[in-house]
Amino acid sequence: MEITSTPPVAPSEAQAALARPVAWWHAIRRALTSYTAQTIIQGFFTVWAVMTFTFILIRQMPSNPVQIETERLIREEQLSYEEARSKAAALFEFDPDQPVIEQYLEYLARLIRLDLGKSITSTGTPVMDQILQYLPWTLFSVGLGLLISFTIGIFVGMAMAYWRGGAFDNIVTALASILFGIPNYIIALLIILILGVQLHVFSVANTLGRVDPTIEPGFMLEYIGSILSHAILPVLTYVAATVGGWILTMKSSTLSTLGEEYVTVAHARGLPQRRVLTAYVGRNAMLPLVTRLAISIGFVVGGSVIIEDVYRYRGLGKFLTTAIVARDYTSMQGVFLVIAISVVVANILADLLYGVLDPRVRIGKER
Amino acid sequence: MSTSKQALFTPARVTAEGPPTSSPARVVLSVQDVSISYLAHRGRVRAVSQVSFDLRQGESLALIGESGCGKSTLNLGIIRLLPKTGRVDQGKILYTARDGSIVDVLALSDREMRAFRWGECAMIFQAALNSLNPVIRVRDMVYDTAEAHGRHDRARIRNRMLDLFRKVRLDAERVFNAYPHELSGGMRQRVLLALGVLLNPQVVILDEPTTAVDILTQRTILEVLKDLREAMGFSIIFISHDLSIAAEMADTVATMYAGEIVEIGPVNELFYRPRHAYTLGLLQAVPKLSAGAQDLSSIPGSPPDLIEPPSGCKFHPRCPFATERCRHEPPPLIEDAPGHRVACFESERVLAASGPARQSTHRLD
Repeated sequence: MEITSTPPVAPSEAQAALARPVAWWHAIRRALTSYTAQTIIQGFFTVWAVMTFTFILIRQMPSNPVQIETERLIREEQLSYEEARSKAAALFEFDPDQPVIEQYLEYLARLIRLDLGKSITSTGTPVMDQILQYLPWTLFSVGLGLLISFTIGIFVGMAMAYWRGGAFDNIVTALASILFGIPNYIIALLIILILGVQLHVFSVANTLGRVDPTIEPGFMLEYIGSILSHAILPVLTYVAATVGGWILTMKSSTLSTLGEEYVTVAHARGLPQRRVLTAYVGRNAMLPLVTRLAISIGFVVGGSVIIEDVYRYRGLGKFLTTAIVARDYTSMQGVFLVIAISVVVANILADLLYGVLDPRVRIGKER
Repeated sequence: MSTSKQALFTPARVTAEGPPTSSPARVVLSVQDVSISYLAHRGRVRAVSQVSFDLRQGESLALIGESGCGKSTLNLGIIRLLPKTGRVDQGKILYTARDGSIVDVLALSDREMRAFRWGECAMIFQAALNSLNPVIRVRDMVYDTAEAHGRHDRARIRNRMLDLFRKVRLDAERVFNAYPHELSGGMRQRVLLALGVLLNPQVVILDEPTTAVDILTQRTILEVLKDLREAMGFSIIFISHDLSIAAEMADTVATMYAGEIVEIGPVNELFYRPRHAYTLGLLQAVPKLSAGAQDLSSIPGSPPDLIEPPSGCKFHPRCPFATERCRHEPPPLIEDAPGHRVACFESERVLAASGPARQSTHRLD
């Protein structure tokens, strides 16, 4: 018989062949249960949940793109409702009567191919292109603001904790609390009113927008200078609105670190003040702020809708406002998706960074 | 001025395993008439008042007393690490360096003070669990310490540290490269002990070295401490609530009450023939393994207010031996027996009453 005639295979080899799928299965399971994989899976799930939620919410808003356009046509071109309606419907590749679930499934199918679809109101323009056009400006202005604010907060907060109870501490605490309490759009308006209109520190007309449109874009000093000078006001506003929070957090964190035994012991060991302040106080006091920083970085992408509106700074926030007004579902959806992804990614980065800074939460084996 | 002459007492060798010292050993640290106070809302808190004692080379001095009696404040004062509200009001802390020169610690510049800390006088704090920076490795703390004292030869530092880690019975290589959270409480305490003697200080101050560790770890730490002391011959000041540890480790014991040393003497003298009512009270409060709970006594009342301390002897409101004189006149610290000084007008009556107390002192071993 065939079976008996087969020469006896070395048992070990047979076992190995048999064990191979098992080993594979183990490897897959190990990979899936590893911390990194779990974090990534969790991240995907979060993004999907946010996307679905916003998808439904957006379509629950009163009116829709066709409706808005119809109203505009009636208002501006004096068309009858039927005429306006058919013109608007012809203009957009969007059918408001399509069931939401169908729209959702179509969107999901495109999203899997990393396609955010096309803008409804700017017919034919891919949402991805729009986002890529506005995103860098927001990243630049809000990111710069965050970086400056965080740096000031760390140093000033530490200095205050170190000289606690002194005049410096008292004055800055009061200022920081006031700044922390004022909403950022009020600060933006105050800056325009006081510095621009009253004191004429800058010309309001010239600083609005994100760059002087008469200057040819390029890697030239003039163009870069224009970018910077237009970014000053939004950046100043972001810094003013957030620096108080960083200062106060850093101060309380430093105060509690200064009370730690290991700081006293470091002094008892005769370490120079400089070393104690950096490696012993500073590093430990900064730990809780790192998480906050990373989460803030996630929100940088969303920018500040109102601030960009006040300064006519055409970043992603301004784009989002325009999309919301026109009920451009796909554009809104795209922006929300980008924000969700960046917040999730920032959180993962915060986790990893925290692990680098604090060995107690470091994951995995080192040796 | 009470800075003039200290009543000299020779440290009695009570423990056979103590380091060999040529008697009379020279004085390493002389605390003279030191007073320390803290600023509080109600006024200045006199945490330590006019404390004087001499610490000789190789000697081990135990400070005993209730919480808040000024033991820790005194030690923080010696290395000048008092909190911002605290300050040394008067007195001198004379330190004799190895070359024989004598300096007043309180007059050192910041830079000299940094060199003095750990290099000449190391202090091991009670919360050893929290004494190490959680975010850096033990080895970095070791190098930090050495470099702060001008020793940059990392290879040599490393070898010496590993050697000391082995002496305190640690897995030297592993501990050297570990982060603090990877070590147990007892291990961290031993790391700190070994780190404390890295620069070969003449004085090691231990603030409750065995609190917060279990009894077996406590035993290891004490043995390790004895080994190190034998090998290196440093002097020890240690603070303890645990009288049995004081009895085991100390050559000399000082009882502190309300910021003052009320009795100081050789360990056997003090524990078997206490002459101050407060020391007697502490000894009677020690639980005995052989006795039931009913035999346990406590000292009635609570420690006095240090902003407005009682007149006369500060202990008189709680003292069963107090007389009219005690209420008005503060008793001076005078030598009653050889090497045994006590601040009590009724020391003879206390001594007579201390007969039963002799049995209450028991040694751990």
